[in-house]
Amino acid sequence: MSNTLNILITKNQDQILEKWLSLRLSFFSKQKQSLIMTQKDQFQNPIRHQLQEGLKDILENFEKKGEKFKEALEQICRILAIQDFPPSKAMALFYELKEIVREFTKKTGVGFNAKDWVEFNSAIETMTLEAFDCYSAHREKIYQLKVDESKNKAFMLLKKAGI
Amino acid sequence: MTTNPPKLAELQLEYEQEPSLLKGDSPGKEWLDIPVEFRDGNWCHAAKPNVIEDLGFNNPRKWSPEDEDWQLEEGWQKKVKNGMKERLDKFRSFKLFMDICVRCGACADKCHFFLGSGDPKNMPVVRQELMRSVYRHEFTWSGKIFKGLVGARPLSEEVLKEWFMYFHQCTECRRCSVYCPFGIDTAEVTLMGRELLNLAGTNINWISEPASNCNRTGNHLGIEPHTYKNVVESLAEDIEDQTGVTVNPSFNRKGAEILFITPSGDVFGDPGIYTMMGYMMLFEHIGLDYTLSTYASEGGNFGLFSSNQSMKKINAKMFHEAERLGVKWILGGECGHMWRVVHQYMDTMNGPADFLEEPVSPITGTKFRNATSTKMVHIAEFTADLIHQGKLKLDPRRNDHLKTTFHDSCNIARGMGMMEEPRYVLRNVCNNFNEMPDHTIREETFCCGSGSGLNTDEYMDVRMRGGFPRASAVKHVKEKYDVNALVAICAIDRASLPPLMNYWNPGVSVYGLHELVGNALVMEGEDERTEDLREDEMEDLDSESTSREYDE
Amino acid sequence: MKVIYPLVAVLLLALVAYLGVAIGLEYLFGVIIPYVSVILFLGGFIWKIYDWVKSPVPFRIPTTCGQAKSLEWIKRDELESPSGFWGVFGRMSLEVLFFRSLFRNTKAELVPGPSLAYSSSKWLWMAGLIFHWSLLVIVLRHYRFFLAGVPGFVEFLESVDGFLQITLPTLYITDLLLVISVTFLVLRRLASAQMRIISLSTDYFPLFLILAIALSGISMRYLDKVDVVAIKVLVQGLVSFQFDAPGGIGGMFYVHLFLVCVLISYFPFSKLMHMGGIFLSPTRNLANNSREKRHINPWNPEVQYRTYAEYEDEFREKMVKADIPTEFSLPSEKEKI
Repeated sequence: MSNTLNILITKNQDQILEKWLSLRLSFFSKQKQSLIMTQKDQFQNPIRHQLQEGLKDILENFEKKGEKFKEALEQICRILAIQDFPPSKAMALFYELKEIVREFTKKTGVGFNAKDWVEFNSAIETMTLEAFDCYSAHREKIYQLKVDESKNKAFMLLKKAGI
Repeated sequence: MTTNPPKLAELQLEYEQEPSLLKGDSPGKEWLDIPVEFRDGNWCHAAKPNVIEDLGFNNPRKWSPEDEDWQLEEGWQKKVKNGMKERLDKFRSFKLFMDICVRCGACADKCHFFLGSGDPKNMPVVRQELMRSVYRHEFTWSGKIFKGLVGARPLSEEVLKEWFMYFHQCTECRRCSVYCPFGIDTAEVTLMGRELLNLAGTNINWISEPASNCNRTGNHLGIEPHTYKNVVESLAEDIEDQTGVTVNPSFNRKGAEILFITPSGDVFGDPGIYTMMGYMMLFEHIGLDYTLSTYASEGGNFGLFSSNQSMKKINAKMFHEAERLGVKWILGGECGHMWRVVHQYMDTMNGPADFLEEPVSPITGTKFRNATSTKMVHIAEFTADLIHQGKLKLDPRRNDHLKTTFHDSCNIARGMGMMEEPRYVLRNVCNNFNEMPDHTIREETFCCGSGSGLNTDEYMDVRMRGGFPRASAVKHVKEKYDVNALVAICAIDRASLPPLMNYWNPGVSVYGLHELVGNALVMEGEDERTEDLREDEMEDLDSESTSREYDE
Repeated sequence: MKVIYPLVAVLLLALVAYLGVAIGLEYLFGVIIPYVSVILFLGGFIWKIYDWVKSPVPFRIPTTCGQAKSLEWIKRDELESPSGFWGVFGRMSLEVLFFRSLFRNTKAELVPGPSLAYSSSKWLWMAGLIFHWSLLVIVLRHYRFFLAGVPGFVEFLESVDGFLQITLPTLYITDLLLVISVTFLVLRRLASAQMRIISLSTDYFPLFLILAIALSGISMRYLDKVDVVAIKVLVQGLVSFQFDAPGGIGGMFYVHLFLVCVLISYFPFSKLMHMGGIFLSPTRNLANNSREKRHINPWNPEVQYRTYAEYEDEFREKMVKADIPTEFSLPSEKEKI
């Protein structure tokens, strides 16, 4: 059952997380580096904090999935869905893990077999597709909010008119 | 797994060569060189031609920020430049702030839009530089000689587009100004920026249309007097249905002691209406002699967000109506930017209000010494005094189903300095109140992300970004203390925090302070209360007799 | 680019002075330029202040950072939200003398967890404070060159400043602190990405200039010693309007002097004017009492607003129907015709 690559992730979680996070944060800033990456306070830099939390949960639960994994996907997609980059870039986040792990194996020379790699790939793909569901759901939510807000603004008038 | 596994060699190839995916754009470029890009969700609709004509602004036409060609008039640059010159001569703040910034970076990470997007142009200092770069080019010798070398650039259409985008990604919340060693206030720069955008004929509809409506009918939505009255009366009926107490609001009544003005959002919008019900119950409870006005039926002032002239024009109605009705003084409802205008601008613009009297609470006899000239009192001051003097019969347990936290509105905290009064009221009307973390409240409060006339639905994406720091602080208290009620004293908050909470922290609802007062009030002749004003179940109360009694 | 140009500019300026004196332009660098730059400085400073003051303050817009004056039993914060003169005086003093607002950043350190950005903002406050105070003390110490005798406060400053008593002549702590803090302020702009984004060449130029001035001054004192007596004669001459330049002072002095001249000439036309500007900042130097005392706007425009009469004219019929009191009743059917 145990996949060498999954073990690799578990073992090197901190480094992988750091790499992943900084790669992703660079998407937010149109500059190479910005406060978004360096400011570490939970409240003064919520993007970094919540992404870090989410990515960490994903790595921790990468193999067993479960509720926490799902929540983490939600949390991350909630942030991605309202940013100024297109969905393709938002979703790239989840593929990035593949690249990071690949680099990691090269660097550390950890051996793994073909089956591991196939399995790992498919896990990443499944995760990305799940994330896409989340992302779309949040986009839909934005549109729902727009509708709700227009209704609420004139709530009494609509009520009076019997709508 | 797949039944036809790829060969090892293929895998090897894929492993080695798979191209990497899309990467972040234009890293390392100077901010000046990054062009703006209008995408669905990051711009507000342009003002409609009839609205522009109504307000007497330049170049009415049908256009959209997404258009390549903005159909600017011939010679718009000159208009803007002259406008800039005029404003430099009229506002010391503007001139000074153009000159003295040392770019120390203290403000860089203080803007909620920056924190929610990471876009460098949302750092307050860079937002100011958008304007300052043009200022240097036009008005300083160094800028004229050294140009780009000292950060100067000419006013071009590209720059105008940048202004349009980023002066509409500033909510004039003044948080950056708190940390600036020279008190440089980006709001002042944004205000000027928006006035200049008006000169170029690039306005947004959500700011312009309410301003125009307000002028004609007295309120943002353009509601005519009979409908206004009708709606308020139906709220009174709702109060009667729920509590069994009859409240009798009056309209345009001469000889009333007090004129009450609140944002129209409280009258028409959900959840603002519950706050309105709270005011009416409170006034009934203490027997206040007050009247509402259909003519001055808007506390809010969207003029503040576009130009000084329209701000004054809209605000003038308050004193005008108070004088006509012959009231003694004015009481103002819960609102943020309304109070920025009333506190810092109204008396200067439209005073002196000689025809009014220095405000004294008719119930407690307290003199509101801090309002002796403007003669307008904030409802939180008024209620805090009532509670302090023991004039209200309250049962805070009626809000036990709510676990509250308090959101300071930017304008109230940083433009008025009111921090304690609402908290005092809140503590007296509910039992569960927990503050959000330090540095996210009081003068350091985070904006809702939709202030300064940006609370329009087409702008939802940007608003969700701008409100993220606020939402993240709420998330914290939600997880820590089970907070489910975010209390605010601002009509824009009541309109814009619900979607923000719905998106980031589902399960947290938004309340007005006086809605909670309305819930807690033990009124004479009331029916047994089991539901709050929203018709949500209250917690079971053992017996009414344990309610907090105050000596008269 | 933004860094290299100002650096090169400062080096070139230093070189100009050094070579200029070497080819015998002592009179130019020792007399003419100092006079011109002092005139530029004083004239420019006054002009700039006048230029600011001439724009009125139309509205009372203090940024309130604490509880305002309100009901009597509510504790108010006079320093953060002043209600009168003394509050404003206190607030401005804290701001000018201790950089209160900049200090606000450091409070964030109470948040648990390691946080690089916070400590750096504390460093900004500290470096800024040290830098400005050192500069002030150093400028005051130079006062000794301007008078025949040495005033008491200068001697006091010198003794305190040199209390370490290491090296000969005594090492002044402020010299050291100034160099360290300026270096920090430069490095800070270079090290952090977002500081690089917001910094302009005009931010580096004064820093490099001040650093060069400090270094040339220090080298005169400790390394390439110059004739202090001759310098005093020169300065006294300048002060008493005797226009001859004594020779044999040493090139380094002229570099020092010339750079100072550049700095003070540049001063009124640059961001360095924040020194004067801070006193005029309307978000800090006004009392938060606009509802209590009417603030006057000298150009308060006449604005045509929609009066109640116009409003009633448009809606009278609807108002009457809805039982809303009106000033005038509806014209009867007969009158209508």
